[in-house]
Amino acid sequence: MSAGCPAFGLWPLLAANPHTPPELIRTLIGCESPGLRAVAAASPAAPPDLIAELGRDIDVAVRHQAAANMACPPAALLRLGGDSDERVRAAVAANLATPADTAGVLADDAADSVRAAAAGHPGCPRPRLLALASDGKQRVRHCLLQNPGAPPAALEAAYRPDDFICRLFIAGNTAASSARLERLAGDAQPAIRLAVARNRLTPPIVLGSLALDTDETVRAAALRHPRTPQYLVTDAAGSPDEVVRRAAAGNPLCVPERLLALAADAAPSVRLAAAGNPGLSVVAAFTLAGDADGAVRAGLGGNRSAPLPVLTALAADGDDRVRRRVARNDRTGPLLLRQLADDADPRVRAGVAGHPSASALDHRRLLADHAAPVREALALGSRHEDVLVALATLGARPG
Amino acid sequence: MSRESIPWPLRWIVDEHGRDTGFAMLRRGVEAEHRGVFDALAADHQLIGFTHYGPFPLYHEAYDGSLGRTPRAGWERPEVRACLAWAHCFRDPDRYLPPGLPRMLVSGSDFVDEKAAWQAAFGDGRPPKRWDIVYSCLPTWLNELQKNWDLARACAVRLADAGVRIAMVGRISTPALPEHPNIDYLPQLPWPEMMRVTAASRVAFVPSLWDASPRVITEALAVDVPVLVNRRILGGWKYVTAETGAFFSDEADVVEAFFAVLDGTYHPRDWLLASCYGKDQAARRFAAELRALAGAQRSEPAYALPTSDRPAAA
Repeated sequence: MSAGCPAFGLWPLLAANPHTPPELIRTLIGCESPGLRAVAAASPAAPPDLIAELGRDIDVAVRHQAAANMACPPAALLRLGGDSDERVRAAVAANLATPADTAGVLADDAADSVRAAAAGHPGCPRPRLLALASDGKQRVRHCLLQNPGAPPAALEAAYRPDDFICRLFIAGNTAASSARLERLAGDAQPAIRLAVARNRLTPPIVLGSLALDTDETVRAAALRHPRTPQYLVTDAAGSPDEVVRRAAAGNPLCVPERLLALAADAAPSVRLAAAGNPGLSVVAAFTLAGDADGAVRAGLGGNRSAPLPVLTALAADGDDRVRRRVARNDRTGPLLLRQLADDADPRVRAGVAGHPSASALDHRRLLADHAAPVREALALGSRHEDVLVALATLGARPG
Repeated sequence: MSRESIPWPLRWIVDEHGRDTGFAMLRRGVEAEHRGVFDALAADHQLIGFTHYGPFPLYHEAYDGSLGRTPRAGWERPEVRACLAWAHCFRDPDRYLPPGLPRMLVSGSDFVDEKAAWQAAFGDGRPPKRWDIVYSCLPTWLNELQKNWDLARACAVRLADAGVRIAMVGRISTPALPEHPNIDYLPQLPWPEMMRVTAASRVAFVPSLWDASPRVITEALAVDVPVLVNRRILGGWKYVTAETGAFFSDEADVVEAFFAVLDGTYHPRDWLLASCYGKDQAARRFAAELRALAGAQRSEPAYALPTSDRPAAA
């Protein structure tokens, strides 16, 4: 897909905006440029009938994007599952919207890439996944090992304990059994143990042992995990090791009293981690709002859990970095956004331009803004139809 | 030997006219089926080892299989012993390289064709910045290992939740993709398209760990895009400076590290060229290293470029 030549203008960005009016996306279907038609086929704003039509395009890149679009209708997916190009068939096999029976058919495809994509599809019928566990191609088996919907029998059939990559993939799979994860938590390779520590379904008892691992990165990953026993996180908050305290400061389970202490930690990296913690108390938030380090205040400005009075104070911060984060924070309300829309910094205004809660009035005013980041943010993020239509008429028309 | 027959671990080193310099590159262990090709090349070329394949020349289970060998047993391989010098990427070369041989801090990624990258990215005009971050990883086990897909996926969720728009290239048919409206999954792209997507992004994201020669970094710098790189990356750390980007540690600090890069002012392409990277500058710098190996005053080669293309006739 060729994005961004002069005739494209802001069209690739408009097409990426799910709020762009469908009739605007329809204007791309007749374009000579396959790049623009591919942009339309990939658009979250494209209606299903348009995607189906683009699924018949002569250009394989356009059909590929249509096949990967989750709004592609089932009948079109079935048809694209028989496309002559294996990349299109693989996109169908990987599309989470593809019906199970279609994925099952693609599990028998002659092309390795298609069978691999089917092996990774959580909805692929279980008997097919079991068959793919003994596929002759390593990539197919690897994709199966990463499939969160794979049945235990298929995972065990595909698993090779002497194969580092097999162990790595299954360690990161939420479908892996607790027993398997417990064994892998004792693996000789730190990379395997780290994958277990990151797995969101690793049992607490396993995380407890990983929190005491010899490898610093494994320990930190376990201490960040929301399922790690709370007493370990609490202990870690008082550790002399900055890396360990930082991990505890970022864990939502960190108790408020410890988090308050970490908000006043001597190490900026620890305070920064605390500033981003969704469990931050009001007292801790106000403590961090007065931090001498602008990066810490900026981190707080980006925290969705920061109370409104704190965001209000940070919206007037003298440091541009802080105001930029407030402008991008989903929780920042329309009144603050109105204030930030007049900011001298174009990146602050760009934050308002892309904000879901910004008013139509603010977005219309920002249409006159000449700064490229503001225009780009409006095209990508505005929810106001008249603003998007106005942006579509700026610059060259698609040809 | 034709281009088609030279195995991946080996490359010729040619001058600016494509002529054989008499040096050749070894960048991975040689398998039994390629031993004859290696022997023929080694018979009339001086071999330079390049660190291009994980922790090579050490053995590692992920790259060489679990055969109960110690890492340093990798130094005993005949092709490794045949190297007269090492072009490496390491912060701590003593840990990875056989002792007693000359070393130079040179990587394959130094030789990025910066002119071709610029032309590919901007030849049709400057693209608007559609993404905040771009990450690429081909659908192979080697890429998923070297590009640290496990960490990339964990970071992507945190970044997307913070409102960052992400392009993940080469991931469109990958299992267990995090579903998020801020993450766009793109297929594997031809190289010119990859350069355009990079240029349409504000930051190139490189969570790689065992990538010894991360071309993705120098390509991003070549199209004037700053980089956010894993602090523990094996190679390519030398490209991360105050002029080009920043490091991050893990998913806990990646959001703040990203916004710090976004807020910064960088001159990636200017730095790349001023530091003598880029195809022609790197080739001249590498040639100077090869001349120094010869000891006595020597004027050839003046230019040394590793290539899979068969050398031109002298």
